[in-house]
Amino acid sequence: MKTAVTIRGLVKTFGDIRAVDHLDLDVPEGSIYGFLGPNGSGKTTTLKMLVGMTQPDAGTIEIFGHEVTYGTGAFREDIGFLPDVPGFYDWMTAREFLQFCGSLYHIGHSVLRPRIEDLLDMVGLTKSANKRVGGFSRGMKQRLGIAQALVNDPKIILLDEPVSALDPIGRKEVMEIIGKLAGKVTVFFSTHILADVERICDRVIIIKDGKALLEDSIDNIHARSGARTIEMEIDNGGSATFGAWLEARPWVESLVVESRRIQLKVGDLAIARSEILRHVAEQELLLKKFVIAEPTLEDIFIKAVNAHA
Amino acid sequence: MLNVSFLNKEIRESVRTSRLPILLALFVFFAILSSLTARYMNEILSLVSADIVITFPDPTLKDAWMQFFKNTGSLCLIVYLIMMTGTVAQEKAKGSILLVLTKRVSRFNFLFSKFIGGVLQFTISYAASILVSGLYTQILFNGFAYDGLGMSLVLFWLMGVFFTAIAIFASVISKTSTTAALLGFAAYAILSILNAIQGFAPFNPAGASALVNEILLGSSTTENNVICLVATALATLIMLSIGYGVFRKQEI
Repeated sequence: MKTAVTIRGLVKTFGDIRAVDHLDLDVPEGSIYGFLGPNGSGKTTTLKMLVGMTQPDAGTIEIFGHEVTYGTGAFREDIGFLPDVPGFYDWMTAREFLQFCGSLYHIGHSVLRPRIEDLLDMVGLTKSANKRVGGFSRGMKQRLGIAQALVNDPKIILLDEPVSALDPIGRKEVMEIIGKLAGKVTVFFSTHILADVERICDRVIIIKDGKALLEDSIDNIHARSGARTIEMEIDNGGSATFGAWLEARPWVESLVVESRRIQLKVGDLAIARSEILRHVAEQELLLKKFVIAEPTLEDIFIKAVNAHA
Repeated sequence: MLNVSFLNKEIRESVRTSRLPILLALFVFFAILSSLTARYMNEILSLVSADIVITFPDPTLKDAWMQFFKNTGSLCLIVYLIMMTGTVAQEKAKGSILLVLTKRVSRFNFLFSKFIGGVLQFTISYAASILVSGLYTQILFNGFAYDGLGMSLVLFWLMGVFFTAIAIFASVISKTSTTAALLGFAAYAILSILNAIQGFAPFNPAGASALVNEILLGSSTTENNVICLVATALATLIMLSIGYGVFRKQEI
């Protein structure tokens, strides 16, 4: 698979603070790539370097093979960008703003006009197309922001915290739009709202203090995440002896026994499941509940971030 | 060099946010006021000081133009300067600059279009005020032209262009519109004070306000006027270049 964005050894320092610290990443073409990290972890700085607005101290950035050099713009045809706080011209209508953005790329009217109508439709702003942007809600502005990022039909769109300032409805609307872009364009977006990332991203990187902590596909991260939780409830007693048996197993990482309820974290789920079920059958225990809980991305994120605290 | 789409936005913005209409109204108002106050100054003073007899020479069309240059070079120019100083700072504070500069607009395109947009706004307002002032002077004084009027108007226009470059520079180096406005005003005040130095006006890019009076009084020389034109044009180029140099390195 081709690589849309390649970053190698990226460094950016502000005074004594190293905002981005030797960051490496590869964004596969066509993927929806989540750029995760707590506040102040260097996400916005990285994105600004990606769009050539901030000069890196060291390292290289390539977007579809074009080297991103501060102050030059050969790569701009390929990208669409939505900053964390997009500033619009409040006196323009949504349609005028998209026409203005398109004209900055010198796109002809015959191409631009239908494209704008498609974009307005895609982001659900057709009815508000002739209303002034100044009267838009945050959610509407964010949707317009996505439309302007797509006006040049880019190969990749870079979105900085596109849903952080939105209420749940606005967030859902914007995430649905981003989800719709899957397969049409590469999406690179930073966020700290992990439930959304888990739902739509193919691949994520977690950064903290400008350093990459974890970078993989969502599936691999889940597979690699190690401990999973098993919750059980025994109906006919015997949970104490069952608990003692579990405690002696090498694959048990932690165990909580409360009356008839047992909760344990296991390192190897396959072995754990097979041995537990065999033991239950042999001891004729009556299982009322047997639930395997996968760790959420949030669990993995917190674990990764805390491990480097 | 010039991004026509961005320039077009600048002009539309100045109209839709009422900046250009306000500027136009201000310039035209003071153009009318200049001729009227020059023509009726004696009558006004007689009314104000009814008990004292003050005798002034009859006003001439030169008095009308003197008032015009005084008003345009002070109040109108200051308002224009303050309006223009927000041009880049506002885009930076609002974040709209990011949406523009990440498209096919270079920093030079951006700044130069801002400059040309400002010059156009000033030129439109200034041209309208000249026409109105000329018309009122003609009506009130039965004539409007004097020797050196053309040179005076050009000198004054170029000074406006120079202050556009000053405004752009102040706007580039400031984080807020207020700081930019204060810097712009400070530059205006300092350059105006420098005009008081004997013989310095031709070398001062804001020297036009002093030279137009000398032209009206017939004490100016062509050499001084040309020096002032060249000095103002050079200072404009220098201010723009420094402004661009700073802007090019500015991380946004």
